[in-house]
Amino acid sequence: MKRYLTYITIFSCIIAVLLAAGEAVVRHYPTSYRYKAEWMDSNAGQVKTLVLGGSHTYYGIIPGELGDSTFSLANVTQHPEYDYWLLQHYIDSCTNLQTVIVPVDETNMFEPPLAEGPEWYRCAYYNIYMGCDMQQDNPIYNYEIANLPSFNRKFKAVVANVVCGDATIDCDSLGFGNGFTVDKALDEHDLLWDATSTSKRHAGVDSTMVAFNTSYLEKMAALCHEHHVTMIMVSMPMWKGYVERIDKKRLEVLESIVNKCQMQYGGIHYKDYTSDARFQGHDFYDCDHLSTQGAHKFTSILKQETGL
Amino acid sequence: MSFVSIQFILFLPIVFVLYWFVFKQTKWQNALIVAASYVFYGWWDWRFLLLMGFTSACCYTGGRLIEKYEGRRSLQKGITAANVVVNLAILGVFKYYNFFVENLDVLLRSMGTQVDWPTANIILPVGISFYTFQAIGYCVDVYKKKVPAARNVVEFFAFISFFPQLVAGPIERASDMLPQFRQQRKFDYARAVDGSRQMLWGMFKKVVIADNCAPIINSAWEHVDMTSPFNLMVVTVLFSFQVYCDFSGYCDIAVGCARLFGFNLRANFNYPYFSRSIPEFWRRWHITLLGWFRDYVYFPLGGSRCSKLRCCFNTIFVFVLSGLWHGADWSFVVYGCFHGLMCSFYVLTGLKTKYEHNVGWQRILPSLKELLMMVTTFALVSLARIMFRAQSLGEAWGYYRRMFTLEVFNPTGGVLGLKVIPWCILLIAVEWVKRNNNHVLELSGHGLMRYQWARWTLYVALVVAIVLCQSPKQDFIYFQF
Repeated sequence: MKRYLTYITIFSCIIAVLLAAGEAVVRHYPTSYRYKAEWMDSNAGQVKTLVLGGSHTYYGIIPGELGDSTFSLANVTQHPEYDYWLLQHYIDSCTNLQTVIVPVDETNMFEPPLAEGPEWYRCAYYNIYMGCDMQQDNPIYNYEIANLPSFNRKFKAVVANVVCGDATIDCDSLGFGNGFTVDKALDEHDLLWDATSTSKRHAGVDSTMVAFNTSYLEKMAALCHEHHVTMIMVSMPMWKGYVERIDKKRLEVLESIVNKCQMQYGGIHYKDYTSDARFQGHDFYDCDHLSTQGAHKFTSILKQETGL
Repeated sequence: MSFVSIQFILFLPIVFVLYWFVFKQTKWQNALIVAASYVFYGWWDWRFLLLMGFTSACCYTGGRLIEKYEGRRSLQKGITAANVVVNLAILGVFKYYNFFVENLDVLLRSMGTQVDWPTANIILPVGISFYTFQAIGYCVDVYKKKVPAARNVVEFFAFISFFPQLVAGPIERASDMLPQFRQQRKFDYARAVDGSRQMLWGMFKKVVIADNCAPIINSAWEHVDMTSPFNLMVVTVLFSFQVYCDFSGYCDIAVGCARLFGFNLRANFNYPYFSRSIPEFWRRWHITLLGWFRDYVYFPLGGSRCSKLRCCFNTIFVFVLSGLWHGADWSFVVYGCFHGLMCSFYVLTGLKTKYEHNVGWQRILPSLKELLMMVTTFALVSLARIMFRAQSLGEAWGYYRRMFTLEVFNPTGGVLGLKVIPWCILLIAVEWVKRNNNHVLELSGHGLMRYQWARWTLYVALVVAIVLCQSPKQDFIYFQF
C-alpha cells in the first residue's frame, strides 16, 4: 500500500507540475481580454464610442472605420451581464464617452448566465485578465486549466505560434475580431447546414433568462442615461436562410424588450438589420456572423445611418 | 457522477483512503461502499436512489423468503416470479411505457378505435437496465439454488449498488460478487497497479477517441441530407469506434476502479473488432449482457439443444430482447432482429463460429482470409449500428438511402474526421498487438516496458494526450440504457 501510494503521489505531482506549467504558459500568451483591459486602462479617456456585445458585434463592427475614437470591448459569448460589468467598470474613466453600441439579438437576450452556459470557462478570462470580480468564489472560474477543451485550444495555439515564431491575438488594435476572414467563410451549402443546426440550438424562450438578460440591458440603459451617453441598440444582420429559421417567438420578445427600454429611458436608438437585404451570402462568415468583408459593409452602413 | 469529471477525481481518492485506512473491517468497508455508491448515483438525481433502494429491498426480501420456504417449490416459484415481475414492471414504466402506449394507440386507431391514452414525461433513471438485470439475475439464481440468499443486507445493497459498475455494467452475477463482499479484502499492489493502468487506458479511449468522434457524428446525423454519401460511410465507421471506445472505455474504468478496492469484475469486451463472424463478435462485445440473456432467456427456451428452427427462433428472440433492452424504439427491435438473423444464418449453415484461438494466433499479421472475415464482420456490425444510432426507423432508413448511392465511394467534397481517424488507426494497431492480453495496458515486464522509466513515460504521455485532446464533454452513451 505504501509503495502504491508513493507512486501515485509522485505520478500525481508530475501531472500537477505539467498542468501548472501549462497554465503558466497559456496565461503568458497574448489574449484579446488582457489586451482590451490594458488598452482601456491607458486610453479610456479618449474613447467616444464603445462597442459592447458578443461575437456578432466583435466580428461585425470595425471600430477603426466607425471613427477614430471608437473601441470595441465586445468578445465572444459576452452576455449582457458582462457588458454591464465592463460598462460600469470603465464608464467613469471614459470621460469623453458619447455613444455605447449594444447588440440585442435572438441569442444574447435568451441565453443563460455565462457561468451556467456551455462557455462557462470564459468567466475565467474576465477574472484573470480583466480583473472582473464576478464568480470569484469558485476556483473553476479562476484557472484556464479548469476547462480542458478551451485550455487545449489555447495551448495548441501557443505551441503553433512558438513554432511559427509570432504570437498574435485575435483582434486588431481597436478590439475588432479580425479572425472571420472571407477565405475561411462558409459557402452557400455550409451556410444552410449551419443555419439548420444554429436555429435548432437557438430555439425556444425561457422567460427567466429573458428577464435576467433584460435586467442587465436596463441597467446599461440607466447607466448611459445617468452619464448622458447615447445608447444604440443594434440587431446585427443575419443570413437570410437563418432568418427564415429563427424562432419567431424570440423576435416578438426581442421587439417588446426594445420597446420597453426605449419607453423607460430616453435617448435610446434602435437599428434593426436582422433581415437587411443589402447583406448577401458572401458577406457572412457563418449563418449569424458577418465576415470581415461583411463587417466593412455593415460598419459603413451603421456609420452613415447613425451619424457616428 | 461521471467517471470523467472533476467530482469523480476528488471522490475516488477520498473513498479509497477511507476504505483502506479508516474502515478496515469488511463490514464497515461494505457499508462505506453502499454509502459511496448512493452518493455516486444520487449525484445525478437523488430521487433515483429511492428506486434503486426499492429494487434492492425487494430482491433482498425475495431472496430471504425463497430460502425461508425451502421445500415449498411452488411458493418459491411464485416469490421469484413476483420479484421478476416487479423489477420488469419498474423497468417497463420508466423505459417502455410511452413506447407501449404510442404503439397501442396506433394499433387501436388502425382498428378504428380511438382511446386517449395518457403519455407521461418520465425521466429515465441512469443505468436502470443494468442494476435491474443484476437484481433479477440474483432472484433467479437463488431460486435455482445457484447461489445462497444473501443474509447480510449491507452486503446485498453493496452488490446491487457497487459504484464502479452501477450505471453501465458489467452486469455482475451474485455468485461472483457476493462472496467477494463477504471475504476480507487485502490490498494487493500488483492488482491495484494493473487496475490503475486499466482505468488510464479506459480514460484514453473515452476522452481521446470517443469524445472526439462525437461532434463529427452528431453533426452529420443532424444534417444527413447535406452530408455526402462518402462521409456518411466515414461517419458509420467512426460511430463504431465511438461506441466501442465509449463503452469499453467505461468498462475499463469500472473494472480498474473495482480492482483498486480489491474486487474482480467480469470482462465486458474482448477485442470485438477482431471477430471473424457475427456470433464471435457477440462473444466479445458486451459479454455480460449477452451472457445474462443466454443464461436467463436462451437456455430456458431450449438454447441450441433442440431443432435448428427452434434454435433460430430462440436466437432471434434473444437478440430482439437485447435490442429492446437498449431502448424503446422499433429501430432497436430491427437492430436486434438483424443480429439474430445473422447468428441464425450460422446456425442453419453450420458455419464455424467458435475458434480455439484468437485471430492471427502466433502470427504477427492475420491471414488474408481472416482479414476479409474481420472486415466483413466489422462492416456488417457498423451498418447495423445505423439503426442503433437513429432516433427512429424512418431516420435510419433515410440514412441508408442517402448513403447507398453510387457516390458512396466518391470522396470529393472533403473527408470528415481526418483528425480522429489517426487515433482510430492507432487504437486498432495497439489492440492488435495486445489482443492476447486482458487489456492493452497489461504490461508484461518484457521488452522496453520492463524499465520503470519507459512505463512512466507511457503513463505521462497518455495523461498528456487525455488533457490535450479533450473535446467538450460527452456523457457515456450507455448511461441512457
